[in-house]
Amino acid sequence: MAIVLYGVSTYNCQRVTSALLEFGIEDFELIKVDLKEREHFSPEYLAMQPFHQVPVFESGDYRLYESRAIVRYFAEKYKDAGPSILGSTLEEKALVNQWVDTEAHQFNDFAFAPWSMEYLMSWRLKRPLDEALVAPLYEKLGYFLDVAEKQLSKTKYLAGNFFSLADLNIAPSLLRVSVLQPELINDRKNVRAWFESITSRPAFKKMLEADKGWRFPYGPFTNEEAQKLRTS
Amino acid sequence: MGIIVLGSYLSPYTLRVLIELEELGVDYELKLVNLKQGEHRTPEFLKMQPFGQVPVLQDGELTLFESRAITRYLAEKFDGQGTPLLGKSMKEKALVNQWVEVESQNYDRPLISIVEQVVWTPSWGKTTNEEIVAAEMAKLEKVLDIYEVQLTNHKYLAGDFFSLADLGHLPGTHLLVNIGKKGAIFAARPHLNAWWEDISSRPSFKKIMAKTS
Repeated sequence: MAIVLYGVSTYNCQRVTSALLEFGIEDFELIKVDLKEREHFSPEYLAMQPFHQVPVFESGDYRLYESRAIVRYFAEKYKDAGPSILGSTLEEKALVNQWVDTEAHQFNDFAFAPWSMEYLMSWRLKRPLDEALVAPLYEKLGYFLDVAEKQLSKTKYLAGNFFSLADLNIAPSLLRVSVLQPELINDRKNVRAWFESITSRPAFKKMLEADKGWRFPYGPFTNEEAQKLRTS
Repeated sequence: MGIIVLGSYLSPYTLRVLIELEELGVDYELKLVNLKQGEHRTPEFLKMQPFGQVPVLQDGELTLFESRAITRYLAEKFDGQGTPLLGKSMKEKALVNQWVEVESQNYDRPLISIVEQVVWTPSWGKTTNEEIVAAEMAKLEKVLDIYEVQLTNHKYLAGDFFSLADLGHLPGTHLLVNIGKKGAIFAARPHLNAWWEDISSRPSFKKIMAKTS
């Protein structure tokens, strides 16, 4: 059954595309949903995803949305394609899930999403960054990355010594951090090594090639290089 | 040594785990964390949960945080005991996960903002910000419209079976509807309301709610 993914270029769409590629699935159709033109509010799209969000996974008449649910489905379905990114024992799985949820709540919702949105808006609308908005979010990002730094002094990846769903989920977001304010990554030794490792995976690189909508050349950048990009 | 839950009856995230333990028929010990006295911010607590939040689960050597990771772990560990919560086929399981994400991303966030204003803020002796309430209620009502459509076509969120997805809505919705007195937005949507009446009549929910009063 042909696989279709609706939605490109946002970090959550990239999460889903990179997951498929991790499992060696290269035969899928990637369809752009034009968010700027509000295509996600069209009746056709709402019939698929009533919360007007990307991405959506479709195979025949089976559809699934919520990027974290989609990648979890792939991880189950393609379990035998390689080492399990869900974890092998009950305890490993629990720790993977703990870090998947921590990424969602302590990094993404709490800090990364509003922070990166403000950068996007200020660039798109050609207005200055709202520093009062960004400063506390930047601190929260820093706190999360301090916790990650400590964890990564004990384990190679977030949930243990194996690449898991938690690392996969955060990689596209960290790429954006590395472009916008890379000192958050560069100034933390373990985070920096881990970031380089998860974003140099073949599947991640293939995802960036498949996703032609991605604007910036991808990192890692030095703090100075990113400063140049920000002011260009 | 059995299962230990560190948490508070004030926390809907703790209650989610306790309700599930009842559904699974699993014994546990509850160690209360005094949120009012900031016990969740002490160095000892932060060693276990670096973000200073409840609940935390201890099961033998395993220490686990994030309530949805905890509920998923318990559902997997005790699969076959008590109420089945995950779905049977791979596709069913994925739909359960989809609605767990919807609850986490789209439902819980406006709900908790409203509960914070209408329930917790007065309890701290402060004034409710009615502007925030109005804005968040508008967001939540849009989400509830989507739920109404889903529940017109299915008895429960992920299909015709009660799952982790429905269970996750119980404690927060209780705070919103029963304590916060915002039930009118449910009553206005008949299928949503019927679903709420159904899931909130489950013995597991009633048993845990009796402990919070």
